[in-house]
Amino acid sequence: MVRGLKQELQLNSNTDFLSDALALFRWAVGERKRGHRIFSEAETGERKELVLPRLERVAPELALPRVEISWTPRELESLADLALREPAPPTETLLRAMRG
Amino acid sequence: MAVLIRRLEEPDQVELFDCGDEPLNNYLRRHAWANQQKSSIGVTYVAIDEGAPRTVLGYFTLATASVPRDAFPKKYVRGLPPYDLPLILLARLAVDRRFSGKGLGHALISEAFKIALRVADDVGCRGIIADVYRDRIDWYARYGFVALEGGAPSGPQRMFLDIRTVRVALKGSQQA
Repeated sequence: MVRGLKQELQLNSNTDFLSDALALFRWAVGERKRGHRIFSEAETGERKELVLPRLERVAPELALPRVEISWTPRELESLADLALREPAPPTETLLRAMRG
Repeated sequence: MAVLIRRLEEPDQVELFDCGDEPLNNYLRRHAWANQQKSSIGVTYVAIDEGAPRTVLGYFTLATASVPRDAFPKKYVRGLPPYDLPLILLARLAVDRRFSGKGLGHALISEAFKIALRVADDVGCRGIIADVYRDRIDWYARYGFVALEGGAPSGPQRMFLDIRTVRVALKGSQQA
């Protein structure tokens, strides 16, 4: 596989091959760490997402740990009350936050 | 100053961080990295200036949590979905005093909302909660956080923001 890729990329040395491979992998890790998804896009606009299980380990959306929180009964009542209500419309400040 | 927000990395300079609140300073200096990498208790995101990419200007920490359905008072249980209520905890948010007044807090909480939405889209989440210093309640309320009743009369105030409100805000911002 390595030989085939080197031929396709017209690379003679393993050092160049490894250097390019590392640069590409490093970039991909950085993008997923920022929460960016990685796609290829065909001329027709068809997009395919790159999903590598090892890359997903650094993705923020899947890397939030879980914690236990203590609640008072009245807080739970208040939380349930809010969760059962229709959501409030966003404030101007929240709208501004999501625009950035 | 071009600010970038990303996950905390081990070489980041946290020792000089000073937001004026010792527990928040201490968390970043002593615990944030270990909690993120070793204990998996919370993930910390830092704001950095691209010109000095290891100096932390501000940070926030996120974790997931949930409330078991049977923990809710009985009169509410019937109206709730038959599952635990998944939440995101905005555990800490702080800005270094040297960089306060530059909109960094707004940038940090904006990024926290975007991450929360991605989590909600990927694994489900009903809202964001934060335990807020009492002198910061108004600041969080401007983003739509609502104070929960029934907490301790002194100490932090627990606040809640419905993730559906954040999602509507994102749609609204895209249409604007």
